[in-house]
Amino acid sequence: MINQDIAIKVEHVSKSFRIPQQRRNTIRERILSFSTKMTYETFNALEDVSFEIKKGEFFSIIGRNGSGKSTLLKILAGIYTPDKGSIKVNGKISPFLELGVGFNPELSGKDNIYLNGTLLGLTKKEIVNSYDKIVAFSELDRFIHLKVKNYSSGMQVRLAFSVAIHANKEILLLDEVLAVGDASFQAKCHQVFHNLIKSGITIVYVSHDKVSVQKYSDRALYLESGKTVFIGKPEEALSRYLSTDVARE
Amino acid sequence: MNQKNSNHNWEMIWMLAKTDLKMRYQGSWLGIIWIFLKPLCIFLVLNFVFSHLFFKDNQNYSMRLLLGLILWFFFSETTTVGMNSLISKAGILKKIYIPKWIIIISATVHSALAFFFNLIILFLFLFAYKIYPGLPQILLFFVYVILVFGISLTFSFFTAPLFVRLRDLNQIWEVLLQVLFYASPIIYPVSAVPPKVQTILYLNPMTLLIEHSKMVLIDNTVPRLDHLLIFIIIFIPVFFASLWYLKKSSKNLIENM
Repeated sequence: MINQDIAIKVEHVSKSFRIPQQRRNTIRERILSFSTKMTYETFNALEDVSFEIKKGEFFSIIGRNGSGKSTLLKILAGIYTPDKGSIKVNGKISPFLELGVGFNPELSGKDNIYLNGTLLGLTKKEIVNSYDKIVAFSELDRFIHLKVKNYSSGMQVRLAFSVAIHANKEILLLDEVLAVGDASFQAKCHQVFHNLIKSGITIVYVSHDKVSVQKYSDRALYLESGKTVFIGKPEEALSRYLSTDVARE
Repeated sequence: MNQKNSNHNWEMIWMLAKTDLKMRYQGSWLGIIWIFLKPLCIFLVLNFVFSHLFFKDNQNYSMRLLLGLILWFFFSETTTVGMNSLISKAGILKKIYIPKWIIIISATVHSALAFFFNLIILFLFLFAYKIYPGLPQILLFFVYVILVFGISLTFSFFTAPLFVRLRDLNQIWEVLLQVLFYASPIIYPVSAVPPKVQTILYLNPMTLLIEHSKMVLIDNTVPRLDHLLIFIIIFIPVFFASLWYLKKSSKNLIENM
């Protein structure tokens, strides 16, 4: 058992993907190319990454595209299994990787709240209880019986965000989901965000947005091609990230 | 805690199944009636052809055919949707962690529902033909039904992850289902084939289940229970092997989708 103050403990995690040079998904392809050896390119998405996140901490992960940030979040969410190393999670984790998972455009807003809520780990009773709050927050009460395919993209995101923030979890994994909706809805989201942080929830946040990383983070992890470059003060992580970024250009 | 988790798993299965059901019948003019209509039409065609041409003297041929067909549809639909289930939910699986067995079972809910509706029709027909199976026979029949579902699930647990890597599987299975249909005693009784061939037929698990179902429901007899016992003794370890395989292959499944 891990220390009660620790929310997430990541130890020596590595993950690589095998990218076949040519795909052989069908039997025909396999037979035709039986004699030639299958060649793979191995892509190391993460190499020996270790860190701990304390309960109630706001932990940011920064890095360029393809540096392994999203792979790391997917491992934390249990979608990918690491090749090496271990992950220990203390508390219920909310996979916030993308908004509106499972949203079905042919169903009404109401049905989608139930579907998405269930997938996010809410029980039916919990959804029934917070249904009114979800609808009120999304400001979609007039359209809630309309099929989601008739929603504007902004409305869809509003609905998805409203369900997601009502999925009461102890650990949130956020992959750049803050900038949604129009200005007034964004302000509301930031308010919710503030309240979440105050309520002592643990947040793992992946972003390119320097402002929000600096503003909210307690600590930050800077990843570069799957390796840890720096863990610690967000200011320092950001300045290192920005300087290498500038140097490259 | 555990109780809550397992409740939630069943809620998730039902929620996914309900969405599938809504999608399947939305915009369709006859809607849910297709559950009855499809097997009934196929039954009428086969019955017209075979009861007049080949099995004139076979008592209650039509009822035997209907029973065999209903069990067969249950098997073929469950295995087909089960095999396709993980791929068809790739969009969700790539973004959220859901145990794979939940996805597979939720996909089979529709075929199980369809089966039970068809069963009602079957019993109405049986009563109309004045065939009244006894209680032990009906109980035995439900053991066979559970086993049909069991082997279909076992098959799906093996093939759903395999299908992610080998995309020919659905085509192969479509052809194999045709072969198995004629290798099962649906349109003919097992007794119609030579004894040597019978032995081969029994390698197909559906043969025993369909043949015994006909015996209990239509002839109102008790078939050999030792055969059923052997069947179950083979089935249980294979079922657990399929669960083990699903768990093992789930490890690197999502990135290959």
